[in-house]
Amino acid sequence: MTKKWMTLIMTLAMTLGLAAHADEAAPAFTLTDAHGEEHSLSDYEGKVVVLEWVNHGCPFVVKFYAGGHMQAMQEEMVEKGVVWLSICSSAPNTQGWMTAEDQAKTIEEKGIKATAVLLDEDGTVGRAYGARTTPHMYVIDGEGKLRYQGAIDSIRSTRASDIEKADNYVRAAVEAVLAGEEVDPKQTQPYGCSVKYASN
Amino acid sequence: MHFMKLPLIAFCFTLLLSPLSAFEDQNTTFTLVPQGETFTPGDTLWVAARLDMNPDWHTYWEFQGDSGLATEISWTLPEGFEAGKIHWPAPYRFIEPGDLVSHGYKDSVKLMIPIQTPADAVPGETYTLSAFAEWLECKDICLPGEGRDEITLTAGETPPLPESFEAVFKTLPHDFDGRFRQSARREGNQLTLTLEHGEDVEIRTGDLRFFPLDAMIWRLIAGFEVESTENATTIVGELAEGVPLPDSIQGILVHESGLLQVGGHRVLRVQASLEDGPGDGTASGTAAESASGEDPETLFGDAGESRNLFVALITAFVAGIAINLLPCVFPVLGLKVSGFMEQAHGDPKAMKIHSLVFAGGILVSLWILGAIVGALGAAWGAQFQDPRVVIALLLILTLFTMNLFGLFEMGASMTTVGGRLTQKEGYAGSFFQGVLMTVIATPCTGPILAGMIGWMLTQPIWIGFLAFTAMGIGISLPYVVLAFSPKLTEKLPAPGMWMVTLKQGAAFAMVAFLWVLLYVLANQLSTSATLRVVGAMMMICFAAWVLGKWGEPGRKPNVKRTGKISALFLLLFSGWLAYSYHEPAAEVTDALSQKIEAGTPIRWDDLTEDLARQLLEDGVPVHYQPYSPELLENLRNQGRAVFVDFTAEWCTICKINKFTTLHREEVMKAFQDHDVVTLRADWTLRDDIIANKLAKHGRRGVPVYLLYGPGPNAPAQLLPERLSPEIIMDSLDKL
Repeated sequence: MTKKWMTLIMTLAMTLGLAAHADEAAPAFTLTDAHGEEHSLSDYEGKVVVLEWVNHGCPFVVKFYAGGHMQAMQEEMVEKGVVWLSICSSAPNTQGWMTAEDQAKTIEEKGIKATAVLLDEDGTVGRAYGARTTPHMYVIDGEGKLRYQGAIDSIRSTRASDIEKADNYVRAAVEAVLAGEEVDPKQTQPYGCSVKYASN
Repeated sequence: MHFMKLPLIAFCFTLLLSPLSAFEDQNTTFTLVPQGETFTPGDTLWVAARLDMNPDWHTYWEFQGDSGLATEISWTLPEGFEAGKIHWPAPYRFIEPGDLVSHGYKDSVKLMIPIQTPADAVPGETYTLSAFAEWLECKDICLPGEGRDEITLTAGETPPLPESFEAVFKTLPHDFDGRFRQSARREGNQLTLTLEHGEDVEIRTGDLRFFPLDAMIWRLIAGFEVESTENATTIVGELAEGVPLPDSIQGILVHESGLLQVGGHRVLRVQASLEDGPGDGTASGTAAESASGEDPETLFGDAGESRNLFVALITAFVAGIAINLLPCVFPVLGLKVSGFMEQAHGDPKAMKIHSLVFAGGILVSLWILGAIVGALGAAWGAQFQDPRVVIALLLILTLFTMNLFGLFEMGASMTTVGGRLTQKEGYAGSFFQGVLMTVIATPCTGPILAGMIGWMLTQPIWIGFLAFTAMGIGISLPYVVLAFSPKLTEKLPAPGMWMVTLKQGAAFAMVAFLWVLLYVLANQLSTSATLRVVGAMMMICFAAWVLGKWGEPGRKPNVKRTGKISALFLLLFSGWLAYSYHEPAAEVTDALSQKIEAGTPIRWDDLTEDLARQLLEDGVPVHYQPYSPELLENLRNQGRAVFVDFTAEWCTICKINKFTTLHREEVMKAFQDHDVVTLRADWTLRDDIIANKLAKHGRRGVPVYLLYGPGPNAPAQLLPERLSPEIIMDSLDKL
């Protein structure tokens, strides 16, 4: 097969699997959480929803969880009435993959304060959102419109010491949405480990 | 089972341990390699930060791609020394599941760093340079890595670059002394980088690869198409959506064996300012806007597409002419040709006027369609998405088809009255034919003109207007030319019976088109609504026959008038019939919620199944929900009174009962007031469950009406086959 054809096919594939973009309707989904309960995006109509792609084996995720930074942020957001959904798209037996039971245990052990930790083993939701890294963050407003997607903050590193120095894009986006203001930036390049999708 | 779990447990264990043991058990080692042990004070000395990776592990390039992280090096240097930025060798491209693309290195890489040494370094003195590197190493999992190393240098004389360094330099981005004139241009969602060069540069054929440095503007998985011609290389890549473009595009162009015949360098540094397309003012505006970041959204429209106005108008014109060859317009074409035959041997002046009026019809309808498409932002041909439009077309075209079959003559009824009127009617006919031509042609023209229309919509109104005009002129040109050239018209054969045959042939083509339209409609509406329209079409055929029969030449004027009035009534009735359909409501509209609040009865058939079930759950009475023995039993066990209507579509008396009684608002209201749940058992199709139920009550056919009183053991009342509101009211009162 020639290169041209490959390019064409890849382009088509990408077009079909359109990723989510800022200011567009966020793709609907229904996933089961660590406790076996179902959560749909539509359940949270009228609320600001934060999606966090997670993989606890990934150093970039460890950066935020080891010192309790992510948990603190989740708690802060949930107190503001924001819904925080952590989604794990790691395929079975890849890094970060856990059974629902183990996820529930991890929630206990790490003191995770997300509204729910959702399991997306087959990566359907991850691909629908075009989630590329862990963490990859999305902020969705009450009308189901995607308002921010990208990195969690401005310093691309695995050093926890950078967290305080960085601009937190997610907090800024949530605050802007709650205040009815424009989000700036709307889209950034996410950083982290690749999401460990199942190979098709 | 236990054996199966073992590897899993081991795996989890490894996962748990790996972050802890990362630094002790890394897969990458870091060492510093200087250009030499000595340096001339004031010189720039190159130091390589060498990363050796275990098989299958990789570290990342300057721009890592979709995931990963570029390696960072921080220096601890003696006073006077200064470390420059990392010079990154050309990377590899890795693709992971989920179409994630990353750029990095495998096996071993030397990241090159220039160290500026102090001019006042004392010869013979030693200096220690220490570096701390942090990287991300990934296989199928990613781990952070770090390392520290130091080198000791003596002030003296800088040795020449070692061979191993020379090799690395060939893989570093190079400017090639500005031999390439670089520019970038956006077209739709594609960005084209053009690297022009003189003839002294020879690009070797082979595998050229482009690696972008701009983080997020690219759709990386789509890859880059790189093509070289004699004096230019173009790189075409797809842009990610919704990301504003920077003012310049950066990256590197890599050739596996050496890009140019210049020093064997393999990597060209690409830094192209984003320019506007040639000869187009609009693109530069958009580019400037994007640069200032004011309105990134407009960037992703088609506004920047450059197309010459003249070329567009010519295209529109030629497309117009070509439309005459499309199968969609054959029916009209046949009619038009036969019309020409009739006129061709009559008054040449009238014929010219006819052709111009026809052209006018095409133009006016094109303008209107264009205005609608422009105003609504609708797609060309999207009018067929609205069932009301399709119905209108079906009805009008049916009438028109009957005309083609010769069932009645358009305007012919006036022939005896006077020539002037005839002409007037005839012109209206020509105009109408023009309109028809445009409307019928849209399904065919849509795909052909989609691109052009997309472009027109982004243009100022007057350009769109001009383009539509050019197209209209193109469509009508053949007829106008024919009408205005006596030599051509003389060559046309004399009118005769063959014209009637041609018209009838066209009529059948029209019937085929009606058939297609009915398919469209059937996909939009329910079967009953579609069949209503078919009924209306049949009514129109009848109206056409009445019009022809009582409009024949020689009839008395009052007979003709009666015929016309009757036909008009029939047409109006068919219109009402076709449009009086209503589709089941899928959501609670304002009208519906008012009904619910007012307690106005609602029927199951008027709602979609989902909505009906939802309303029932909310306690809203919905009449005539589908019967099932279980549902009946449940309701009765709850102590509810239940009415069951056993019916079928083919049962006429059932229909009459529905019309006179069951569907009347006051009857349904009475059911509601007496707290009776109404069910409907539809026996249109064979159904043994319903048949058994009927047999239990000694019946073998429908209609059967059963009324159960409240309470699980209340007996069933069998109501008469012929219902009236009074019968229902009386029975309800007796409950």
